[in-house]
Amino acid sequence: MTETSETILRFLDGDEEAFTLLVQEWQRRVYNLAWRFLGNREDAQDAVQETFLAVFRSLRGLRDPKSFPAWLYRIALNQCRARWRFRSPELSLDDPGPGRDGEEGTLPQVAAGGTDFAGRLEVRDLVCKALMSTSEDHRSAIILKEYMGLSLEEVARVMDCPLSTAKSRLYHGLRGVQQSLRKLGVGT
Amino acid sequence: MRCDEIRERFVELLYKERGTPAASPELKAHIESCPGCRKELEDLKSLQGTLRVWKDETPLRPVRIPEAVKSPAIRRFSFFNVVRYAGIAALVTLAFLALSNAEFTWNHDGFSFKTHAFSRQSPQSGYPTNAEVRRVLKDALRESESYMMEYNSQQLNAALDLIERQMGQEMQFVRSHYSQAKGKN
Repeated sequence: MTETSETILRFLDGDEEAFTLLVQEWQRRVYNLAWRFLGNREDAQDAVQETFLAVFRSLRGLRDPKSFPAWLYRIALNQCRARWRFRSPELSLDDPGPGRDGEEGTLPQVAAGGTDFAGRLEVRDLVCKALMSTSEDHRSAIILKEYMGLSLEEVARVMDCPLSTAKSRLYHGLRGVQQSLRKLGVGT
Repeated sequence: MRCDEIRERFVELLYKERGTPAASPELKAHIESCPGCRKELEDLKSLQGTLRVWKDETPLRPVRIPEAVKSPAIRRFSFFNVVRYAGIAALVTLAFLALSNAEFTWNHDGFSFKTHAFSRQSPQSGYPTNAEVRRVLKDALRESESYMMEYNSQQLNAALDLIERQMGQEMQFVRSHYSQAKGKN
Protein backbone atom coordinates (compact mmCIF):
# COMPACT_ATOMS: atom_id res chain seq x y z
CA MET A 1 0.00 0.00 0.00
CA THR A 2 1.36 3.42 -0.89
CA GLU A 3 1.99 6.14 1.65
CA THR A 4 -0.89 8.17 0.24
CA SER A 5 -3.32 5.26 0.65
CA GLU A 6 -2.24 4.81 4.28
CA THR A 7 -2.68 8.52 4.95
CA ILE A 8 -6.15 8.43 3.44
CA LEU A 9 -7.15 5.44 5.53
CA ARG A 10 -5.94 7.23 8.66
CA PHE A 11 -8.02 10.25 7.70
CA LEU A 12 -11.07 8.06 7.13
CA ASP A 13 -10.53 6.59 10.59
CA GLY A 14 -10.92 10.08 12.02
CA ASP A 15 -7.37 11.43 12.10
CA GLU A 16 -7.79 14.92 10.67
CA GLU A 17 -4.08 15.61 10.97
CA ALA A 18 -3.61 13.01 8.24
CA PHE A 19 -5.25 15.41 5.83
CA THR A 20 -2.52 17.95 6.55
CA LEU A 21 0.06 15.37 5.49
CA LEU A 22 -1.93 14.70 2.32
CA VAL A 23 -1.94 18.39 1.47
CA GLN A 24 1.78 18.71 2.11
CA GLU A 25 2.46 15.76 -0.18
CA TRP A 26 0.28 16.83 -3.10
CA GLN A 27 -0.11 20.59 -3.08
CA ARG A 28 3.05 21.25 -5.09
CA ARG A 29 1.92 18.95 -7.90
CA VAL A 30 -1.58 20.38 -7.97
CA TYR A 31 -0.21 23.93 -7.93
CA ASN A 32 2.06 23.27 -10.90
CA LEU A 33 -0.78 21.61 -12.80
CA ALA A 34 -3.00 24.64 -12.18
CA TRP A 35 -0.21 27.10 -12.99
CA ARG A 36 0.39 25.48 -16.36
CA PHE A 37 -3.32 25.32 -17.11
CA LEU A 38 -4.15 28.89 -16.11
CA GLY A 39 -0.83 30.58 -16.87
CA ASN A 40 -1.13 32.73 -13.76
CA ARG A 41 0.28 32.07 -10.28
CA GLU A 42 -2.47 33.74 -8.25
CA ASP A 43 -5.24 31.98 -10.16
CA ALA A 44 -3.35 28.75 -9.72
CA GLN A 45 -3.08 29.31 -5.96
CA ASP A 46 -6.83 29.95 -5.74
CA ALA A 47 -7.54 26.83 -7.75
CA VAL A 48 -5.30 24.77 -5.45
CA GLN A 49 -7.10 26.08 -2.36
CA GLU A 50 -10.52 25.26 -3.84
CA THR A 51 -9.29 21.86 -4.96
CA PHE A 52 -8.22 20.80 -1.49
CA LEU A 53 -11.40 22.18 0.05
CA ALA A 54 -13.38 20.01 -2.35
CA VAL A 55 -11.14 17.05 -1.55
CA PHE A 56 -11.65 17.54 2.20
CA ARG A 57 -15.42 17.59 1.78
CA SER A 58 -15.67 14.55 -0.45
CA LEU A 59 -12.71 12.33 0.48
CA ARG A 60 -14.98 10.10 2.54
CA GLY A 61 -16.80 9.20 -0.65
CA LEU A 62 -13.64 7.89 -2.36
CA ARG A 63 -14.11 4.14 -2.70
CA ASP A 64 -10.56 3.15 -3.59
CA PRO A 65 -7.65 5.06 -1.99
CA LYS A 66 -5.38 3.85 -4.80
CA SER A 67 -7.33 5.96 -7.28
CA PHE A 68 -6.64 9.11 -5.27
CA PRO A 69 -4.11 10.68 -7.68
CA ALA A 70 -6.41 10.43 -10.72
CA TRP A 71 -9.34 11.63 -8.62
CA LEU A 72 -7.34 14.57 -7.26
CA TYR A 73 -6.11 15.64 -10.70
CA ARG A 74 -9.65 15.44 -12.05
CA ILE A 75 -10.94 17.76 -9.32
CA ALA A 76 -8.02 20.12 -9.91
CA LEU A 77 -8.66 20.22 -13.66
CA ASN A 78 -12.35 20.90 -13.09
CA GLN A 79 -11.46 23.82 -10.82
CA CYS A 80 -9.05 25.13 -13.44
CA ARG A 81 -11.61 24.83 -16.23
CA ALA A 82 -14.19 26.70 -14.16
CA ARG A 83 -11.72 29.51 -13.56
CA TRP A 84 -10.57 29.53 -17.15
CA ARG A 85 -14.10 30.07 -18.48
CA PHE A 86 -14.56 33.15 -16.32
CA ARG A 87 -11.44 34.79 -17.56
CA SER A 88 -11.14 37.60 -20.04
CA PRO A 89 -11.01 36.83 -23.79
CA GLU A 90 -8.40 34.42 -25.05
CA LEU A 91 -4.85 35.60 -25.43
CA SER A 92 -3.73 36.33 -28.92
CA LEU A 93 -0.35 35.14 -30.09
CA ASP A 94 0.24 38.71 -31.27
CA ASP A 95 -0.07 40.07 -27.73
CA PRO A 96 3.23 41.23 -26.23
CA GLY A 97 2.87 38.68 -23.41
CA PRO A 98 4.93 38.47 -20.20
CA GLY A 99 8.54 39.40 -20.34
CA ARG A 100 11.27 40.86 -18.20
CA ASP A 101 10.13 44.40 -17.33
CA GLY A 102 8.25 44.62 -20.61
CA GLU A 103 11.34 44.66 -22.80
CA GLU A 104 11.47 42.72 -25.98
CA GLY A 105 14.40 40.41 -26.31
CA THR A 106 15.61 38.24 -29.10
CA LEU A 107 13.75 35.03 -29.24
CA PRO A 108 16.16 32.22 -28.55
CA GLN A 109 16.32 29.00 -30.42
CA VAL A 110 16.02 26.16 -28.01
CA ALA A 111 18.80 23.70 -28.49
CA ALA A 112 19.62 20.60 -26.60
CA GLY A 113 21.50 21.64 -23.49
CA GLY A 114 19.26 24.67 -23.05
CA THR A 115 19.90 28.38 -22.96
CA ASP A 116 20.99 30.63 -20.11
CA PHE A 117 18.65 31.39 -17.23
CA ALA A 118 17.21 34.55 -18.79
CA GLY A 119 16.71 32.75 -22.04
CA ARG A 120 14.97 29.90 -20.30
CA LEU A 121 12.60 32.36 -18.63
CA GLU A 122 11.70 33.80 -22.01
CA VAL A 123 11.18 30.38 -23.51
CA ARG A 124 9.05 29.44 -20.52
CA ASP A 125 6.86 32.48 -21.06
CA LEU A 126 6.49 31.62 -24.74
CA VAL A 127 5.66 28.02 -23.92
CA CYS A 128 3.05 29.35 -21.50
CA LYS A 129 1.55 31.52 -24.23
CA ALA A 130 1.55 28.64 -26.68
CA LEU A 131 -0.17 26.36 -24.15
CA MET A 132 -2.80 29.01 -23.39
CA SER A 133 -3.65 29.15 -27.08
CA THR A 134 -4.64 25.48 -27.18
CA SER A 135 -8.03 24.08 -26.25
CA GLU A 136 -8.73 22.96 -22.67
CA ASP A 137 -8.71 19.28 -23.59
CA HIS A 138 -5.42 19.47 -25.51
CA ARG A 139 -3.80 21.49 -22.75
CA SER A 140 -5.01 19.05 -20.08
CA ALA A 141 -3.57 16.10 -21.98
CA ILE A 142 -0.16 17.79 -22.44
CA ILE A 143 0.07 18.88 -18.81
CA LEU A 144 -0.91 15.46 -17.45
CA LYS A 145 1.51 13.60 -19.72
CA GLU A 146 4.49 15.93 -20.04
CA TYR A 147 4.48 17.64 -16.65
CA MET A 148 2.65 15.35 -14.25
CA GLY A 149 4.31 12.26 -15.73
CA LEU A 150 1.17 10.17 -15.92
CA SER A 151 0.98 7.19 -18.26
CA LEU A 152 -1.30 7.40 -21.28
CA GLU A 153 -3.81 5.14 -19.53
CA GLU A 154 -3.79 7.35 -16.45
CA VAL A 155 -4.28 10.42 -18.64
CA ALA A 156 -7.33 8.72 -20.18
CA ARG A 157 -8.65 7.85 -16.72
CA VAL A 158 -8.26 11.41 -15.39
CA MET A 159 -9.87 12.89 -18.49
CA ASP A 160 -12.58 10.21 -18.43
CA CYS A 161 -12.16 9.30 -22.08
CA PRO A 162 -11.01 6.27 -24.09
CA LEU A 163 -7.28 5.68 -24.49
CA SER A 164 -7.43 6.46 -28.23
CA THR A 165 -9.08 9.81 -27.49
CA ALA A 166 -6.40 10.65 -24.94
CA LYS A 167 -3.68 9.84 -27.53
CA SER A 168 -5.44 11.94 -30.14
CA ARG A 169 -5.79 14.92 -27.79
CA LEU A 170 -2.15 14.65 -26.81
CA TYR A 171 -0.97 14.49 -30.40
CA HIS A 172 -3.12 17.38 -31.60
CA GLY A 173 -2.23 19.39 -28.51
CA LEU A 174 1.50 18.95 -29.19
CA ARG A 175 1.00 19.89 -32.83
CA GLY A 176 -0.92 22.99 -31.80
CA VAL A 177 1.76 24.09 -29.32
CA GLN A 178 4.44 23.45 -31.92
CA GLN A 179 2.71 25.66 -34.48
CA SER A 180 2.15 28.42 -31.89
CA LEU A 181 5.79 28.34 -30.86
CA ARG A 182 6.88 28.60 -34.48
CA LYS A 183 4.67 31.67 -34.90
CA LEU A 184 6.32 33.12 -31.80
CA GLY A 185 9.70 32.46 -33.30
CA VAL A 186 10.78 29.52 -31.16
CA GLY A 187 12.25 26.90 -33.39
CA THR A 188 11.46 23.32 -32.37
CA MET B 1 -0.48 3.13 -44.52
CA ARG B 2 -1.36 6.81 -45.03
CA CYS B 3 0.56 9.51 -43.22
CA ASP B 4 -2.49 11.25 -41.78
CA GLU B 5 -3.82 7.91 -40.47
CA ILE B 6 -0.74 7.08 -38.45
CA ARG B 7 0.36 10.48 -37.15
CA GLU B 8 -2.01 10.31 -34.19
CA ARG B 9 -0.12 7.17 -33.19
CA PHE B 10 3.17 9.05 -32.96
CA VAL B 11 2.58 9.31 -29.23
CA GLU B 12 3.20 5.55 -29.04
CA LEU B 13 6.71 6.19 -30.35
CA LEU B 14 7.23 9.36 -28.31
CA TYR B 15 6.36 7.67 -25.04
CA LYS B 16 7.61 4.12 -24.81
CA GLU B 17 5.76 3.10 -21.66
CA ARG B 18 6.24 -0.08 -19.74
CA GLY B 19 3.24 -2.35 -19.85
CA THR B 20 1.80 -0.86 -23.04
CA PRO B 21 2.13 -2.60 -26.40
CA ALA B 22 5.09 -1.45 -28.44
CA ALA B 23 4.46 0.47 -31.64
CA SER B 24 3.50 -1.90 -34.41
CA PRO B 25 6.09 -2.99 -37.01
CA GLU B 26 4.01 -1.29 -39.73
CA LEU B 27 4.26 2.01 -37.89
CA LYS B 28 8.02 1.72 -37.48
CA ALA B 29 8.44 0.68 -41.09
CA HIS B 30 6.43 3.66 -42.30
CA ILE B 31 8.51 6.06 -40.21
CA GLU B 32 11.68 4.64 -41.67
CA SER B 33 10.39 4.94 -45.21
CA CYS B 34 8.61 8.32 -45.02
CA PRO B 35 10.86 11.41 -44.62
CA GLY B 36 7.87 13.67 -43.84
CA CYS B 37 6.65 11.54 -40.96
CA ARG B 38 10.21 11.00 -39.72
CA LYS B 39 10.79 14.78 -39.64
CA GLU B 40 7.49 15.35 -37.85
CA LEU B 41 8.37 12.77 -35.20
CA GLU B 42 11.78 14.38 -34.67
CA ASP B 43 10.14 17.81 -34.37
CA LEU B 44 7.80 16.47 -31.70
CA LYS B 45 10.73 15.04 -29.74
CA SER B 46 12.43 18.41 -29.95
CA LEU B 47 9.21 20.04 -28.76
CA GLN B 48 9.26 17.84 -25.67
CA GLY B 49 12.63 19.33 -24.78
CA THR B 50 11.22 22.84 -25.19
CA LEU B 51 8.23 22.07 -23.00
CA ARG B 52 10.49 20.80 -20.23
CA VAL B 53 12.14 24.22 -19.94
CA TRP B 54 9.08 25.11 -17.83
CA LYS B 55 10.14 23.72 -14.44
CA ASP B 56 8.01 23.17 -11.36
CA GLU B 57 7.74 25.85 -8.68
CA THR B 58 6.83 25.94 -5.02
CA PRO B 59 3.29 27.21 -4.36
CA LEU B 60 2.95 30.86 -3.34
CA ARG B 61 1.25 29.95 -0.04
CA PRO B 62 0.42 26.72 1.79
CA VAL B 63 -3.12 25.47 1.50
CA ARG B 64 -5.29 26.21 4.53
CA ILE B 65 -8.49 24.35 5.46
CA PRO B 66 -10.68 26.75 7.49
CA GLU B 67 -11.90 25.56 10.91
CA ALA B 68 -15.49 26.10 9.83
CA VAL B 69 -15.04 23.41 7.19
CA LYS B 70 -13.16 21.03 9.52
CA SER B 71 -15.72 21.18 12.35
CA PRO B 72 -19.21 20.90 10.91
CA ALA B 73 -20.76 21.59 14.32
CA ILE B 74 -19.37 25.10 14.17
CA ARG B 75 -21.56 26.31 11.37
CA ARG B 76 -22.52 29.86 10.91
CA PHE B 77 -26.19 30.61 11.32
CA SER B 78 -27.82 30.72 7.91
CA PHE B 79 -31.13 32.45 7.55
CA PHE B 80 -31.69 30.80 4.19
CA ASN B 81 -31.43 27.35 5.77
CA VAL B 82 -33.99 28.31 8.41
CA VAL B 83 -36.45 29.53 5.76
CA ARG B 84 -35.88 26.44 3.69
CA TYR B 85 -36.50 23.98 6.50
CA ALA B 86 -39.51 25.96 7.76
CA GLY B 87 -41.02 25.82 4.27
CA ILE B 88 -40.51 22.07 4.02
CA ALA B 89 -42.08 21.57 7.47
CA ALA B 90 -45.08 23.72 6.49
CA LEU B 91 -45.63 21.72 3.30
CA VAL B 92 -45.45 18.42 5.15
CA THR B 93 -47.94 19.68 7.75
CA LEU B 94 -50.40 20.87 5.08
CA ALA B 95 -50.15 17.58 3.25
CA PHE B 96 -50.89 15.66 6.46
CA LEU B 97 -53.89 17.85 7.26
CA ALA B 98 -55.30 17.45 3.75
CA LEU B 99 -54.90 13.69 3.68
CA SER B 100 -56.32 13.16 7.15
CA ASN B 101 -59.58 15.15 6.61
CA ALA B 102 -58.64 17.55 9.33
CA GLU B 103 -61.28 19.79 10.75
CA PHE B 104 -60.70 23.12 12.50
CA THR B 105 -63.44 24.85 14.42
CA TRP B 106 -63.08 28.24 16.03
CA ASN B 107 -66.14 29.90 17.40
CA HIS B 108 -67.35 31.52 20.61
CA ASP B 109 -67.12 28.12 22.31
CA GLY B 110 -63.45 27.89 21.58
CA PHE B 111 -61.02 26.33 19.19
CA SER B 112 -61.09 22.65 18.27
CA PHE B 113 -59.09 20.48 15.92
CA LYS B 114 -60.07 17.01 14.78
CA THR B 115 -58.48 14.63 12.40
CA HIS B 116 -60.02 11.51 11.01
CA ALA B 117 -56.86 9.90 9.77
CA PHE B 118 -57.36 6.70 11.73
CA SER B 119 -61.14 6.71 12.09
CA ARG B 120 -63.36 4.22 10.27
CA GLN B 121 -66.72 5.80 11.06
CA SER B 122 -68.01 8.91 9.44
CA PRO B 123 -67.66 12.03 11.52
CA GLN B 124 -70.68 13.74 12.92
CA SER B 125 -70.07 16.71 10.69
CA GLY B 126 -71.68 14.65 7.88
CA TYR B 127 -68.91 13.15 5.80
CA PRO B 128 -70.34 9.81 4.66
CA THR B 129 -68.29 6.66 4.64
CA ASN B 130 -67.99 4.46 1.60
CA ALA B 131 -70.57 2.02 2.99
CA GLU B 132 -73.13 4.75 3.53
CA VAL B 133 -72.64 6.08 0.03
CA ARG B 134 -73.13 2.60 -1.37
CA ARG B 135 -76.34 2.13 0.60
CA VAL B 136 -77.75 5.43 -0.58
CA LEU B 137 -76.98 4.62 -4.19
CA LYS B 138 -78.57 1.21 -3.89
CA ASP B 139 -81.75 2.68 -2.46
CA ALA B 140 -81.85 5.27 -5.17
CA LEU B 141 -81.49 2.63 -7.85
CA ARG B 142 -84.15 0.44 -6.32
CA GLU B 143 -86.56 3.34 -6.10
CA SER B 144 -85.90 4.42 -9.60
CA GLU B 145 -86.43 0.83 -10.84
CA SER B 146 -89.81 0.49 -9.19
CA TYR B 147 -90.73 3.97 -10.31
CA MET B 148 -89.89 3.04 -13.89
CA MET B 149 -91.93 -0.17 -13.63
CA GLU B 150 -94.94 1.64 -12.32
CA TYR B 151 -94.63 4.32 -14.92
CA ASN B 152 -94.40 1.70 -17.67
CA SER B 153 -97.44 -0.15 -16.40
CA GLN B 154 -99.42 3.09 -16.28
CA GLN B 155 -98.41 3.85 -19.81
CA LEU B 156 -99.46 0.38 -20.94
CA ASN B 157 -102.81 0.67 -19.24
CA ALA B 158 -103.39 4.02 -20.84
CA ALA B 159 -102.53 2.60 -24.23
CA LEU B 160 -104.92 -0.34 -23.71
CA ASP B 161 -107.70 2.03 -22.70
CA LEU B 162 -107.13 4.05 -25.81
CA ILE B 163 -107.21 0.99 -28.02
CA GLU B 164 -110.39 -0.21 -26.31
CA ARG B 165 -112.03 3.16 -26.79
CA GLN B 166 -111.10 3.27 -30.44
CA MET B 167 -112.37 -0.27 -30.99
CA GLY B 168 -115.58 0.61 -29.25
CA GLN B 169 -116.05 3.65 -31.44
CA GLU B 170 -115.41 1.61 -34.56
CA MET B 171 -117.90 -1.10 -33.44
CA GLN B 172 -120.49 1.55 -32.85
CA PHE B 173 -119.84 3.01 -36.27
CA VAL B 174 -120.13 -0.41 -37.89
CA ARG B 175 -123.35 -1.24 -35.96
CA SER B 176 -124.98 2.05 -36.93
CA HIS B 177 -124.17 1.64 -40.59
CA TYR B 178 -125.37 -2.00 -40.45
CA SER B 179 -128.68 -0.91 -38.98
CA GLN B 180 -129.12 1.79 -41.64
CA ALA B 181 -128.25 -0.63 -44.38
CA LYS B 182 -130.72 -3.24 -42.97
CA GLY B 183 -133.45 -0.64 -42.70
CA LYS B 184 -133.08 0.41 -46.34
CA ASN B 185 -133.18 -3.15 -47.53
